[in-house]
Amino acid sequence: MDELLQQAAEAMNAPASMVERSARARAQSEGVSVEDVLRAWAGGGEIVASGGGGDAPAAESTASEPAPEAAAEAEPEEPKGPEVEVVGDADVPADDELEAAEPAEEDEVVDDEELVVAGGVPNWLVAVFIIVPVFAITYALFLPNGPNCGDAGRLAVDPITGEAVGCDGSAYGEGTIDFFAIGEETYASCAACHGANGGGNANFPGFTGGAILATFPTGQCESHVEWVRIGTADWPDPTYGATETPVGSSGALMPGFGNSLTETELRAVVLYERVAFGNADLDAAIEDCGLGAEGETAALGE
Amino acid sequence: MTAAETVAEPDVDDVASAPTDPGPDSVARAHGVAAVLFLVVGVLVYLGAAAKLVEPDFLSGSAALSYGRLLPVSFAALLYGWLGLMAVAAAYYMLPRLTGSRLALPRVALLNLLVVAGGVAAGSVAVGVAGQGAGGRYLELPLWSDAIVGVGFLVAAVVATRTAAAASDRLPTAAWYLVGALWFYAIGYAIGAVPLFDGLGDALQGWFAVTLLAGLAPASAGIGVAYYLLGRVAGEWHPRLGVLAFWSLVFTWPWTAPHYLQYGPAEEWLGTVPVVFALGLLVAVVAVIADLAYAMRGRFEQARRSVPITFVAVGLALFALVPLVLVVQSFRSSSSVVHLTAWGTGFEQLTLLGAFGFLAMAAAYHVLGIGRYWRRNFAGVHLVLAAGGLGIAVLSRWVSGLQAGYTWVAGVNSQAYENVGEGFRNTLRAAEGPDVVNLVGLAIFAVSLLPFLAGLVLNATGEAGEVEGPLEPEGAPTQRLGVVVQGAFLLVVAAALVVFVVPAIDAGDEPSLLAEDSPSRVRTDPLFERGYELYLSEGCWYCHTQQVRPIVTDVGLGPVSVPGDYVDSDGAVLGLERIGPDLAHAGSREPTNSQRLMRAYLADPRDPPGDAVDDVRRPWSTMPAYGHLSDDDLRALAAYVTGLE
Repeated sequence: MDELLQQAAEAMNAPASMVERSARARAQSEGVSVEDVLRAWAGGGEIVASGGGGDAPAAESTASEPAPEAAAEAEPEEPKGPEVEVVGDADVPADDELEAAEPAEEDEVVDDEELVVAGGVPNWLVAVFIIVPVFAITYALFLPNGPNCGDAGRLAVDPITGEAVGCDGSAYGEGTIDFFAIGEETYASCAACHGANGGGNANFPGFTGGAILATFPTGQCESHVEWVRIGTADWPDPTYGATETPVGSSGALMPGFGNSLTETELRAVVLYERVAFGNADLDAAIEDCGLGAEGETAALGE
Repeated sequence: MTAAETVAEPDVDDVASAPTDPGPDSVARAHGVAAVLFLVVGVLVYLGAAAKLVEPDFLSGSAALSYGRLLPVSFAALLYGWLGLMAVAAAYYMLPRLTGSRLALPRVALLNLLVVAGGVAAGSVAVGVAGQGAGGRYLELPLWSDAIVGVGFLVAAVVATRTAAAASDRLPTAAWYLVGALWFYAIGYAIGAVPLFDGLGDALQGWFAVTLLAGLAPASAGIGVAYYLLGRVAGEWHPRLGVLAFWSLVFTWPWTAPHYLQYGPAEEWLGTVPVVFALGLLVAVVAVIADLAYAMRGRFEQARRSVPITFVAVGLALFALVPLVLVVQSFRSSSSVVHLTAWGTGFEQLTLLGAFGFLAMAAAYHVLGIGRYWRRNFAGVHLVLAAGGLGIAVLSRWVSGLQAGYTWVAGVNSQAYENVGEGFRNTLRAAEGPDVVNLVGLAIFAVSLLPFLAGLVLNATGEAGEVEGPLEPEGAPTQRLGVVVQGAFLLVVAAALVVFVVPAIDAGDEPSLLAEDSPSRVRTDPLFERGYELYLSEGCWYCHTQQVRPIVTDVGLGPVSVPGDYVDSDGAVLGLERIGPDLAHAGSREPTNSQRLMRAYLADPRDPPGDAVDDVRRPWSTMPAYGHLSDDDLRALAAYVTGLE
């Protein structure tokens, strides 16, 4: 039978395992022996087409061809023109037929059968097909993703100006600039040298323990801002700060951040250093660093 | 069938020796070769555009090589030349084998290749070199070439349908998708080209067409290829999800179109539609992939040996991400962060280059017969480089998009900066790194085409039979051809009525107060009209939106946009991405309300010529310099932008 199987497989240009499976199914459905089916497919004789069999149409059409042509290294899926016989109704065979066709030779297939409910769709997929659409409609209609003000970033529109405004009609986020938070975020670019907690690092000076306000005392925030803006390379004087520290005396270079930070970020990061590491009063420092009511305009209007 | 009968028998021994013989397979292969050539052109041009985001002065000084001219050429080549022609090639090659018929009208089909390829190529030249670009992302080809390409896709759909109809009334699964794909191309192209509405309606119509042309159509073609190739190895079909998967895909996908205008000026309910249908699409894609995966259980060894099937596997894995990303883009909460950012470009790359691209490459390997051996055709190198490069590029877009989205919200919430003018520098700073990574990823993707082409040249033997097995697995469901074509047509039309025809009529043609006052929206003055034409043809709208949404992100950009703002404009001006700031009210702001400064800025944003223009010098800008435009054109474009009040 193996030899027969090989011949049939060669004639059909299909893997032997698949041919064997198809042959078993055909034998089962027609009540003949597997050998008879294989012999017919190998080119030895005619086979009778059945309407609702479980065979692949291609297998059938190839089998009705003379074997040598298909086996001659030709393209196996060359269209066979008018000779092709297409099975009218290639519906899925009933489950019991499938089981009979495959006497549990592959474990996975058996597992499949356990997972699959009537109709051939696995249970978990049926669940997905029910749950997702239900969720979709529920979500769209009821959960906080809707079109109402306050949902998902949505604002109200002022009927006069057409501008987006808060849900109560007030201008959005009026007077709530958190310069300390901006400074904290900006400080990430300073933390590499001066430490995340402002403690310094090797040659890089620390800010804690009163050091920051000793160098740039309260009332001299502008000088602090200028130092961060310009850095050591272009600093005009030999010393900096109230301590008159010689430029470069720490052994490290301070880059100027005037080109990489916006004016707001520059002032906010100085504010952050003074408040977080020098324990300066926040409100006083905001005024000191030009971020208060009047200075704010200057910083933002850059 | 008379034409088919007169054709010589397909040359079984050596098809490659007779490429001009219009035998069924040589028609398909000619389409495949043309598609691959378009892929190479499209990827290289797309790479050039990505390079300009990193180095805006790269290859500058010539109109044809500016960002806004390169991008539409790459879209036309990738979307219609590569994915479109490859879909046709796959259908012509696979449908005769699936149905046991011959390719219908082979001579017409071969001639039609010249129509589609010629139309795309001529239209691209018109857009790129002659500056005839029409507005609308992916729909830039001018109307005359649209007519040529549209007729080409229609003829291809008819040829495929006649081929499928010739042998039997009942079609196997792969054939539904292949025939369906060509009809989706034809319908989508017709919808995209025919000017029905102005303004918001035009935008809605355009996005609907795009959802078919850059979504459902190439997806259907790719799934058809997957069913064909996997079906041959599978042997038998277990769960019967095929019918459900096909119809839920066709039903849900077109309805997701309005996600492109989430929070836009259309009616509120239109924003809920894509939320529901993106989730619905999730079901459809799960069904498709589950159907294919179940069929493959226990047969992975056979599949692993095959080059095309490995590409199918990667394509399907990427395809599984598509509905998930669509959900993120559709939901209002996530859309308010990622919409109008580079995130959308990530989706573009994931779909066009990734999911659909890999499935089309699988088809190319199979149809062109270059995928027989892993070792001889470098397919492994191609796969690794293409997948790796694409992954890098897509991730960079998503990171960039999230950073930009959160930067905009942070600026508004802290009131530290506005997302226009100097404040936009924060957005560009967030994009800087990811743009370089994107360029590297796309360059790797482009390099991956070398082993692909080498395989094509060295191994085009015409032996395509590396996928063993019967043509159709046992137990696979079939459907009638008429049901597939008519059903798909009806579903698409139903979606079109709801997601763009009704809202477009609803939007009306009543101008808003703004549209009556703003000289750039009325455009009675020819100067403004010329500027408006340039805004469209030079592709300003690729990087600048003109829509202010009623959400936190857009606070500070001026009055929220309403449908009446667009009554006299093309839908394209609404835009899709803010690589630069929103321009809806550019003329109401300093310094963009000065025509003199704007003219200098357009000529070179990094170093504006003339006196006293330091106010607008922005060395950090990535905007292209438009110094190559004539003085009159610069003046007109400056007038248009400053007239957007």
